[in-house]
Amino acid sequence: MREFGYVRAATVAEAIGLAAEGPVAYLAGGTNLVDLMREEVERPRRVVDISRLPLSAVEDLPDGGLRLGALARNAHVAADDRVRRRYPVLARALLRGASPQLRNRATVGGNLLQRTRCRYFYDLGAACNKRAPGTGCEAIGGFDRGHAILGASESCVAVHPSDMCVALAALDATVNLTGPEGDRSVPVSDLHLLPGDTPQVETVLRSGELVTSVDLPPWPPARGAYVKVRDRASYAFALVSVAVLVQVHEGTITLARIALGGVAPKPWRAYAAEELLTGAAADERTFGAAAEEAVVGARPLRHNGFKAELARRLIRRTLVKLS
Amino acid sequence: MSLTSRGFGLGTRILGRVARLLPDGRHDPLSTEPGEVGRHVNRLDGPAKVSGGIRYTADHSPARLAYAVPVPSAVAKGRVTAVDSSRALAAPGVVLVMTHENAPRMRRTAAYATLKGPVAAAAMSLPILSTDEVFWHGQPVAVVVAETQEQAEHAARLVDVRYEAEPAVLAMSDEAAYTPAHSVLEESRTVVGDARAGLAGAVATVRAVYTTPAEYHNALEPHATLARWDGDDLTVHDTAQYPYGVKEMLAKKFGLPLERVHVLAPYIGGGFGGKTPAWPHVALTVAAAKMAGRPVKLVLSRADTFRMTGGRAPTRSSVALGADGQGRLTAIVHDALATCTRDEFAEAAIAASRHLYACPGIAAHQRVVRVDRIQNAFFRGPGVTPGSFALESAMDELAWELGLDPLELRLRNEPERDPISGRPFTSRHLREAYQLGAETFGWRDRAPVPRATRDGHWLVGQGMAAAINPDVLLVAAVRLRLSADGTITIHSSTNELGAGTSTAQTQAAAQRLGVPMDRIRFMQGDSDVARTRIPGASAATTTLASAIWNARDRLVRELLALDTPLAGLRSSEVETRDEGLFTRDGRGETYRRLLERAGRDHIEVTGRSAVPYQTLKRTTGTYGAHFAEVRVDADTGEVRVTRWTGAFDGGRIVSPKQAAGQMRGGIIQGIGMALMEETLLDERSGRIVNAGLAEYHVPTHADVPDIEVRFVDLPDPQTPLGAKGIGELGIVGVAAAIANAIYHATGERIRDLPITPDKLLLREPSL
Repeated sequence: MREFGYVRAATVAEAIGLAAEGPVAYLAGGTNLVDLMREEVERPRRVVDISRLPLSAVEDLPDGGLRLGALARNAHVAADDRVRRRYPVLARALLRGASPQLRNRATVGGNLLQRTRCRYFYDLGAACNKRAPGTGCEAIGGFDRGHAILGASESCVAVHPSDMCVALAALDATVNLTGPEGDRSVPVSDLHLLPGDTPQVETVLRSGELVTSVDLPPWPPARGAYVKVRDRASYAFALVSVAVLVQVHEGTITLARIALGGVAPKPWRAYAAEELLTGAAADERTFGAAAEEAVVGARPLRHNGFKAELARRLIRRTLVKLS
Repeated sequence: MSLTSRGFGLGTRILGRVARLLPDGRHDPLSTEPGEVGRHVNRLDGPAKVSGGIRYTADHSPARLAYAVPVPSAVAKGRVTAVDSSRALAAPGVVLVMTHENAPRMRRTAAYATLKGPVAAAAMSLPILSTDEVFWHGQPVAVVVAETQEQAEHAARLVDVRYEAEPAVLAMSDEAAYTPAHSVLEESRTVVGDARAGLAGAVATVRAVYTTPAEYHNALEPHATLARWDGDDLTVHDTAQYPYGVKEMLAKKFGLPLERVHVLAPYIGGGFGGKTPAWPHVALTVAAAKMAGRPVKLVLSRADTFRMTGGRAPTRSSVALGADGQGRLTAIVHDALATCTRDEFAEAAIAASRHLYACPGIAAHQRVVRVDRIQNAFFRGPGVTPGSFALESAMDELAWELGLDPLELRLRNEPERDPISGRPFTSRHLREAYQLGAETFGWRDRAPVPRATRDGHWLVGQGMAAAINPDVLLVAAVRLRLSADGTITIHSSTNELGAGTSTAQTQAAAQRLGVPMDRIRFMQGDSDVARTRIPGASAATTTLASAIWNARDRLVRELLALDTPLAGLRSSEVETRDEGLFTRDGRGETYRRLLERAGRDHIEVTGRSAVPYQTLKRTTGTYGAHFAEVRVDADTGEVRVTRWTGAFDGGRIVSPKQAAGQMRGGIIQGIGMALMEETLLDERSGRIVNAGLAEYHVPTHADVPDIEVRFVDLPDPQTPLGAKGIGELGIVGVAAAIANAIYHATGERIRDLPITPDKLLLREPSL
């Protein structure tokens, strides 16, 4: 690990002020950043510890929604009664991520901004455009079983590893930011960027910007599920995961949301499939068509061709189960 | 399988001819007597371990300690053309950078792993940091020593190493395959009868290819070494499974008299064979301490345990089986391929095929391919574990071909004598293990056809497989000290790997000496004690018991020679019981009283293990049967192991709780092997891509079902305590039992480990 400066911010304003003086890394739970610093994949000169800022509350919003503080621990959010009752898909997604120990440390904001688990990204000896722009991508043509089939580019095929974000995407959550240029909000689905030619730029966050909270809109009158397939029963990243919300009224689908994890550089909303479902009959043919639609355009690599089929099956089965 | 196999320094061929004349093993009265042996005792080191009371190698931090971190090579083969250490040396806290240009002289040592030189524990003969040569990707090419671990880690990244790369051989191909002169504990090539004719005349045949990947031990405790020089005395704390071998290796490497080198390794946080040979970092730590003039500690990062220590070689087995209409085997053909390196450590994947079944035509052939990878190593059931996946999967396939229950097929082919040598067994109770396991598991309730049981989207199935592993007695010496207060301390240079050795030996020694367990102190891990060669091979329990038995006999003789009322009695006239020596008619004295009368403060004797002649004239082995239930998600291909029974013949079970823990651990490791473990080596570069526990998956608790372990518990008439070594047995056959259960659940046969969801998904039609 390189030597680095460490400052603990007492207020949000102080944290932003420190960031305005030069590049910093914000430290919250540290479950991802500290690992990356130990490996020297991340090499911040200064670390601003934001873990004691008053951003850990889970609060009701006037519109019936819920606000998750950026520093609320994953375990805390998953156990929150309002989350469990009103957003069970989120609670389930959180509980299928990481391990109890990590969930006790990891925060909402950190989970949003966690970096890919691509093995070539972690290995300083390997070529990686995300870690060292312009060096190439060794994952392409290498062990790509865990990599993206959707939204990837010639320069990067890494996936976003979060479970929580997949549920947030299905819920149409909003991310609240503050920074040197003031406050703003972005839909969670617009937070992460596709790699294109600049895989090192992963989110729309501007320099010094800080996630303060995530707003969940009022729970749609729908049934939901989060399903994750991985290489062992616990404590592994998704091969494919899916968050599905669906509402059926007298045999007709009135609301459908589908988000996929483990298949793309960001939590992947299957908008076309949702469109196909909405207003259609809730039957197996519709579900099958929607499942096909969700992965249209998938571009498999050498070892991850199974992901499209797995995604189709999970979507179909989950839709059948929920309707 | 027996000790007669090459490498332990005994000429097989010559002994083969005279073996019949050799004596049998001495019958041990303890093997049948009631007492501490066989009692359910909690592990003695348990409370200290769970409360942090045990100091492992990396926990030692002497004054003036410096920390070392190795620099891995970035090419798989070639030469180091230049090393620029200037940036590293300028970094905060850096003490030195050791490279091949400035490292102290290290003499070349033979590789222990090849079993050609049974002394010294060096993993390889390659001159690491003694020349500019690079032999594999990740090889240490420099070592950075700094004031703190973090400073050393950072500076290690600043060492600028330039290479001249050469083309490396990384893939296992048929073109480069050859037959090694020696395979580990087995002959490379065996032909018994006419297997070809057996196949031609068979009613049912199976021909298939089975593959297993490179796997790593991933002991909880990473490898670590702490070296301290005091003048010409060298003291080394090391995570060594074989402390005496490390002592010999370091004495040779650094040109020291043996008595100047002290290796300490009382507690090891798991080994599984990965800590049997000393990997290059051990000598490099000693060299760095010499250069630094102060104690140096090197703890391999988890990633470096993949790069700088070896695991199980990948294997490919082509198996052909034939059987007649009665389900009797007519042919076993097993052609196996594995990788090895310049030091030819050839794992015999053919082992099980040579010893498991009676068959008139057996052709077993082990070939290897030399690759430029980190050398492969011993790993719980070397060869036999991956090879049994092939044989035991093929046996299942044959059973389906014959329309015979796979258990029945095995019972019909249980041999009366070793199928290769024709020698009798010291004991073999596999039949009893099959029956015990089948009853416990409820094997009879299994559906007679595949894909017959469905529970929602789960397909449910059961499978079984046999387990076999050699039983080996090695060489041990113990120092036994009887003190005036009647307590007995036993020192040995073996160690507590976590297997429960210290508990089992305390139980056995207490009964042997006729004292309660709390009178015995069993001390381990000091290479100065006496020559002990138990690098692994599940041999600790019986070999140590043999040495302690001998120590007991010597102690009795010494006590009878003292000036006490018992003087003049012969050893055979007294028993060790009730904390002393007593004749059958009750005359006698306690140990305390005997020492008191003789005015002695203590008596010390050295006990040595007996030469196991019986293993030269008979085949020795341990056996077992696994019964597994799995659920397979018909949509996703996810496999969950839901139920397990393992039944084993490990002779008399000395410490049932420790033994069951060993079997359970082996089964869990086998579940990992079956379903998730795989080392991914990128053949473009030679780099191990998933070098860490985040990406190299081992089972979590959620992957492990309730595991029922049963023992046949019949003593072997020829071994100390009637016991046999069982540390490795538990893993053998596990992967096949799971693959067979998956077939029963789904009708799909997967012959390529690990069985990950994608492999099944691509076969399974969706519901």
